[in-house]
Amino acid sequence: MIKTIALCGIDEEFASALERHDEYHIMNFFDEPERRGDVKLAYFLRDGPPVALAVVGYPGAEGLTACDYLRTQNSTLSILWLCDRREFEPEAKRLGVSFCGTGPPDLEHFAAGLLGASFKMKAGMAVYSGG
Amino acid sequence: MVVVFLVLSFIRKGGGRVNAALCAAFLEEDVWEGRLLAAASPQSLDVTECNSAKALLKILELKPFSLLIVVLNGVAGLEAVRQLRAKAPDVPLLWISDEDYSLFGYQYHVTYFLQRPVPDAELRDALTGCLRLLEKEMKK
Repeated sequence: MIKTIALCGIDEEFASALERHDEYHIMNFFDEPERRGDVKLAYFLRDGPPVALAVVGYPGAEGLTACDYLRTQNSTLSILWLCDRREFEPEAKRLGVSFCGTGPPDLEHFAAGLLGASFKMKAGMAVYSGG
Repeated sequence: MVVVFLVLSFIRKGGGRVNAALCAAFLEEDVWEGRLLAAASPQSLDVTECNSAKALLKILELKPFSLLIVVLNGVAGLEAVRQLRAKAPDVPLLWISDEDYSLFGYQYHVTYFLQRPVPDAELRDALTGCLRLLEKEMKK
């Protein structure tokens, strides 16, 4: 069975890089003027098929708010937060969210690494530290 | 009852001073103190300054405050507010930050959250709201 990875706050280029890996079903929830991507994702978590991993790409306070919101909606969901600010790592840990510091220098390589690590990670563990 | 009425009248006339603690980033504290004093006028504030949540928590152990003001950017502000709320859950708290932490403000029962840049009118409204809440608490 193909596992579903849900994305929010992720740019299209990175989402496309993830989609090239056929073994996962990638769903990207974009921001729209009337509804944010993380809110759309939360509704999908409630109403849609099971999601193996949610990836949050908003930076800073916006990302923390999204992680907090998703964690409130689903206490068992694996969440990975891609954030370029290291000071947020303790906050991610507090929420039981895996933290990935700094942006990917090589999208294709990063996407492969992320997918490889995503189902081995434990909540709160940093799975990647980009340079 | 009479005593409470007299205290409130005193505060309303500007005679009473509100004991406020201000936690602001290094070199910003004087600017914010000036802005807060102007915004609170005619109400007088006694402002105790510090630069970190750790320092503020220590000061809180020494004396109680009627109003807490946190002006710290980013996650430092969030951490300060979380610690303050654990220590002083019922004191009116004004939180000013560079990013939108309004949902966390709600979560931690912050009286007012303002995102920088903060216009004078907005600061005055928030401070007035905090002082009103303080009055209500005193009435209780």
